[in-house]
Amino acid sequence: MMIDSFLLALSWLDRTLGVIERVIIAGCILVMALLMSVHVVGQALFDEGIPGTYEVVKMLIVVLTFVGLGYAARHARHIRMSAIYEQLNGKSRKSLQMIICLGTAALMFYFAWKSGQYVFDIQERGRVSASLQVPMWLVYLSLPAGFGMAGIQYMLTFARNAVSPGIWRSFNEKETYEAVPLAAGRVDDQDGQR
Amino acid sequence: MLIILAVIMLVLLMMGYPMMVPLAVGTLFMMFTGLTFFGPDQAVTWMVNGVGSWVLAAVPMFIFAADILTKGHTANRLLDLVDAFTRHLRGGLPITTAASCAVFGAVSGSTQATVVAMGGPMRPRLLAKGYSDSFALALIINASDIALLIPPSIGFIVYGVVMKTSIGDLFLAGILPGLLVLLMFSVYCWIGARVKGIEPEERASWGDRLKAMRGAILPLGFPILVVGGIYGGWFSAVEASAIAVAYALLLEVVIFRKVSVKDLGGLALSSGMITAVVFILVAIGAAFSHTLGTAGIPEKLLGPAIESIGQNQVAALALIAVAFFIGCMFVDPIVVILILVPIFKPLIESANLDPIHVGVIVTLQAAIGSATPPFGCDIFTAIAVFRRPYLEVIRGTPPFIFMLLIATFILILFPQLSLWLPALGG
Repeated sequence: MMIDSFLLALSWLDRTLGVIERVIIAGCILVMALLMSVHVVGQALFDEGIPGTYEVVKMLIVVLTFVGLGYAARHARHIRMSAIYEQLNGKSRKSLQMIICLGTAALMFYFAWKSGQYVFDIQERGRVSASLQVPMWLVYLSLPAGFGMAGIQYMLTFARNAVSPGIWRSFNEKETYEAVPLAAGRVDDQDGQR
Repeated sequence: MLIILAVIMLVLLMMGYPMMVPLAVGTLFMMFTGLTFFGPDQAVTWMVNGVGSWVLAAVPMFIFAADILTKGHTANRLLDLVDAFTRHLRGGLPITTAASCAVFGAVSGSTQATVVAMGGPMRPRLLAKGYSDSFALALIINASDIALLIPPSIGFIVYGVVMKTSIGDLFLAGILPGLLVLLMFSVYCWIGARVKGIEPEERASWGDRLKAMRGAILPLGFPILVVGGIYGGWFSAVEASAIAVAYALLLEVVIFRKVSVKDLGGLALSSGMITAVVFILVAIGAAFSHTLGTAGIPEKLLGPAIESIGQNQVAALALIAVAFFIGCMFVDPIVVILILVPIFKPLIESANLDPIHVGVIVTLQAAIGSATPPFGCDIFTAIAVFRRPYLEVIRGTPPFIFMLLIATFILILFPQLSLWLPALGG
């Protein structure tokens, strides 16, 4: 009973984090698009853009990259050369998937720790952006957050493969055996938007 | 030590680790074995600086514009336009396919979006006309790769950032080589249709043509805005990307009304994720290339080649082309650009090569490599999109690869093909 409610709480937490990631990623793109187009049109027509655009856009790219790192891990979307992996079947395929998840998770946690130290360092030095005076540690917080989330997702995928039958490419997505290796290459969209 | 580094990276890559892992492990390996003075703390700084760049903002913006257009009406209107003018030619249908891919590439900048948007409607028509599926698939994959050369192109943006050269000039430099490849493909389609005795379709009436032209006039504003704006010096590549998004929104949301405001959140999420997947490679790739540079590895690797090649530009370009071609046969072009450009930088400088011309050669190799077996990533895009077996997808590719290699030779021998337009624009 305890374990059940613990798992329920965990999956609620996972879903909530997923929603937050989605809002941040889509928000970064929409804000960037709005800000940049108004800035460029303003500059072209009235010789005056929006001050601080360059700075904000650079910050948004950093946030987008590292929050997106975790979100792409959640949906098994990171680019990989899966040709050999796809030749395998059954147990050997599952084992390789688990080795990949474990190794990637370890690396992600290592970078989460290193980038955490970096954020701490920047915060101590009190670095702020040049024109808008935004504390840079706030922006760079996305690094440990993104690496950490990616590490957790790879660990979860490892755990799912360890306890559940079948092969899972992410915590919530099972690999389907089709003639078509959907995991290969870059078209691999579960959202069906392409 | 260098051999161990290469073996570790290759093994991780072949095992199917996400491509950021071999790059990151390679970086850490050089740091921990003392090949460079810098430690992992510095790697984090390089990662942040690697993506914290204004120029890179062009990537998500062009992808977002492409996503909006792919969902909307633009693709069909461009296809109708090309179709109305080429379908009566012998081999007209495959020529229409190739030309539409090039035109859509000028709007979207993404090979994958082009495969989906143009391949989707054209493949059934090619099959109905009697062309084999392997020919249709090979044509779609290779013609979509023209999108890499026609501006806007994500490959050019990443190359420009790594090489620290003008992305606007790269965009202009890709146009003529892209058209050259299109011309070669068209001639091949024409000959193929003659040999197979496939009859051309009925000529479109001038009424139909005018209708198609009217429909495509607004979508054609894209290349005019992007290329014309950069060529005329009105705006930079990044500014052009912002204009492209604004124009895509105006077209699809306000005028054609095929995309609703509600759709934009989902499209932004999709564009954001594709961007993040590329940018994490750019971030870790930046750490990798700085580490490589501070360890002096490019000089160690290419020292003998630089000495023997000297000022022989043709030999230097040929070496670069071969390296990138082989790299792209196995790995995503973006990763190849991130790893190989810093390695070849000393050679490019010592042989006094124009970085813009090298960028075009490199991008052309990326296009060829992505469609070349065994692991070219566009092959897998086609497998996933059209759900055809691997062997059928690759069967028709050799003639196209052969033509692209000829295009490479022509480009190496005649640099003016890429350098003429930027010189004129600048």
